[in-house]
Amino acid sequence: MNKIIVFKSLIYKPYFYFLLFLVLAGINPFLISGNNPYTTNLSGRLEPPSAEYLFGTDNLGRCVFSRVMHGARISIGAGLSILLLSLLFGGTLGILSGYFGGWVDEFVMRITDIFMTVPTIVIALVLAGSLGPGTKNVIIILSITMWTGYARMIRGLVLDIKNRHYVETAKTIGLKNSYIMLRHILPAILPPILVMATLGMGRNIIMISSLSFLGLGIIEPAPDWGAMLNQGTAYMRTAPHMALFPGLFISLTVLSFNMVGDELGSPGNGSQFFMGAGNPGSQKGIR
Amino acid sequence: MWQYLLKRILNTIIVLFGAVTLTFFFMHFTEGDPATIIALDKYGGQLISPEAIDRLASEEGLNRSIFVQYTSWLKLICTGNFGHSLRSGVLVLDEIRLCFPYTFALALISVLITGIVATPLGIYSAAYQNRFLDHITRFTASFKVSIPNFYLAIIFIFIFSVKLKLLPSFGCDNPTHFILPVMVLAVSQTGFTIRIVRSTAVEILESEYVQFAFARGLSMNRILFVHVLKNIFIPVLTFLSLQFLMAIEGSIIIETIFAWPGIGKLFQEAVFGRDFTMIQALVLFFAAIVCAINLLVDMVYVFINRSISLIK
Amino acid sequence: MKNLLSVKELKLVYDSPAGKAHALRGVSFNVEEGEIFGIAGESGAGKTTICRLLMGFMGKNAGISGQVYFNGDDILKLNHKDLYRLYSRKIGFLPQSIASLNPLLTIGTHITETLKKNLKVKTKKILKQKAIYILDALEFSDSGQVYNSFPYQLSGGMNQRALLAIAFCCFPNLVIADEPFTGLDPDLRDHLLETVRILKYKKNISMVIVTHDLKVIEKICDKTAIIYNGSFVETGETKDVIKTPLHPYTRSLIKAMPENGMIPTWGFAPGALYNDAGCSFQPRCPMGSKEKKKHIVSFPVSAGNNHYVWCLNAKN
Repeated sequence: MNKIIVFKSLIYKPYFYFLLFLVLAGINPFLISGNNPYTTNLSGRLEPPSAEYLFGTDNLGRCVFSRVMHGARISIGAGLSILLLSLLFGGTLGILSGYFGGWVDEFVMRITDIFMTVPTIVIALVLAGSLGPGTKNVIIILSITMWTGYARMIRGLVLDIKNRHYVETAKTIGLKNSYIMLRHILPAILPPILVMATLGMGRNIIMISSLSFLGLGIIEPAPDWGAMLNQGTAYMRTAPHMALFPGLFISLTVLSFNMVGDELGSPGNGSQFFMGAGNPGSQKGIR
Repeated sequence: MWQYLLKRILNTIIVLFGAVTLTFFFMHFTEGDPATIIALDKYGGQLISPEAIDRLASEEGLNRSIFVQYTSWLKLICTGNFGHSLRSGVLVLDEIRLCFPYTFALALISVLITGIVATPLGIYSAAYQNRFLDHITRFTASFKVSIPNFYLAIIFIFIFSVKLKLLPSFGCDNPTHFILPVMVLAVSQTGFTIRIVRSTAVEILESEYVQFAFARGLSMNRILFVHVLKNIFIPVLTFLSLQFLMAIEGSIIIETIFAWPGIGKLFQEAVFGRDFTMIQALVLFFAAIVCAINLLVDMVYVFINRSISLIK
Repeated sequence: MKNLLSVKELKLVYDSPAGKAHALRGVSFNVEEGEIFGIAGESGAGKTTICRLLMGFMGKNAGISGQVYFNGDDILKLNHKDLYRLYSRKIGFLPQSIASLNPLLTIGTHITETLKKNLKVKTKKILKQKAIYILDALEFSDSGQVYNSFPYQLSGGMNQRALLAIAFCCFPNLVIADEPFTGLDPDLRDHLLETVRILKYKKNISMVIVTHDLKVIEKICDKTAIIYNGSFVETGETKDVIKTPLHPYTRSLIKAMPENGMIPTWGFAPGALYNDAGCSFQPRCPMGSKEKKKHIVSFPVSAGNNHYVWCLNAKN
């Protein structure tokens, strides 16, 4: 079907392979880099990139390359966890809200209003201030912060589908609501959700690194990219590689996720299947 | 129309109220006793007598039950008294009033620049789709959207302040201090805006009136910069207001890096310093800005539609 | 009189998932100076395709064949720049719907920008004068007001007249009208038709009007062609075609007119994918023979006075 066409086109894109590479690094970083990211080597601090240390060493003599690779595991792992949690919670609320309408809808709408009015970072910082740093806390905090976006969008999708003929028919036949939601509505909205999820991974990674950069996310000695960027700032003059590489990886990872999301969502593949996830830029010409 | 506005205002009040309540209760699920933390901060050192902590607690009213604290704070807010910062002792409102103009200026300037740069680029991109310019524009836009703004800030500081020694990167003493932070904000904003401008322009280019304009032999420049531009103005304005809000949000990190004396830096310091009154007030303030801008944009829309229907 | 427009064997074929689709199956006609040529048919018969091809809108498409001669040049072969130079100055376009007006520009701007592009004049005052002139010609009660009005401030009928003004403002030699006056109430429509006729006489403008409303044909077209399923089935002087229709399809169209009782004919046109040889109307034809063999009608039968019909049973 259309899905196969889309996935086939992904194979030709370099960013797809970059993501695969990161996933591989995430599963077992030692496959890629032999050095231990935590061993310090005070005699070899702030060394520029060399054959032994591909990205150089940081202020404690640790191998930046292996830290970046291990950071992949953290970023993608945490990002995925946040995604799953927020999608699950937000998606469920969104489906319920869109399907049943009424006061359930109103209630959920008000709550999401609150979360969406206060800027994301602000909520995250307040929570981080209360709960403190740490990977587990970051996952909790960001899941709480980011579920509302999905709830709103999924609710919109459900509203679209709800009024279609086959749902009304199912209702008149007398099928149970839960059945309708699971078997009719859910499959129809999965493709746009997939696009949302891909783009959401990008956002998650930015949020994680932002929090870590401010010192409230994942902290020493864990090799999170944002935290590494934070440490590296102090040494920009003497050892710019310390900050440049982690930041580069954040950018490339987010870029790759965004491009995959664009590719899935763009109608150029005949994949109207995935549309409805808010994707700018159609492919038609002037005439 | 008034009914609609009233409903919106009511909604805003509920949202603000909810935001503030949630903040209050979130923050009080903290680790550690707030009084101790503040005392540590204020007096430094490790050895503080329990009496001193108690005295601080009763001064700030931190030893009452949560609900009592909440309701008394609500009452205070309604009279406009947001209390004073637990760190600096200055009235919260005063601090905000001092810092907000800096953030506002930063956000406004960057949004203006974004509008001026992104609109023509987006329009050209739409007009000459799939040609060289379009591909470059779209790719760089995607890239701009993906770079975290703090990374960009660091790179810019590295290039312009450290290596080239051209631009200042600290504080806000003279207009040149604006350049780097605005550049950082503008880069990611243009990324988003170009994409939206492009897709809106594509829609407009496929509309009947543009087709008719082509059929009359009007020049491409005329079509792009009169027909398309006029019709793109309002959607882009709406989007730019969204970007303004994102700039305010982004300022939290950017101001920390550039030591910019705005409310972003104020907030970050408040969070680190467990300055509850400041945090609560600022959360309310942020939410209020968002609501205000959204309300403004809504009102502009209603006004436009109303004048259209009135004339009819 | 000289031929202004000469169309020869115009065809449009394109590939679709279901096979070759024939939007136009080879139509030919000539339009003389000062003549109004009408093309009537039902939706999907190929009318809009003719309009777009005559204007050269479809670019260098591989499926287009035939020639469209205007002033000695084949429009289909012209390059972009030359084509653009013709627009509004020599060939005008009258669109179907008022959505062709930019909602954020005044009627005046629409007219003056067309004038500015196509005439040497640049002065604002002169442009406005000319705009008011054409608006007056279209019998607006307050041309100045209309000049400064936006489309949403005017009624549908006024907007239609504004479209007329824009199409005619440079007084082109030929105006292609795509279903003009559709959806207007009959009074206004008749009024506008009169205005068009007067304009034609005053400035000797030729027109090609594509429509499904036979009343429009009746009222102002000098010559008519009836199109069915991508090819002409009958052409000739309007009075001949309408008063003495020879083709069964033409007859059914006339029967279906409101004042003739609105008697419909069963069935639908086969559509662009129809690939069989022979008359495509035969399945529905009241005079169609019961035999399986198809009537081959690749050349018309003449009934005198330039009245042609593509039907073997025409002579009754």
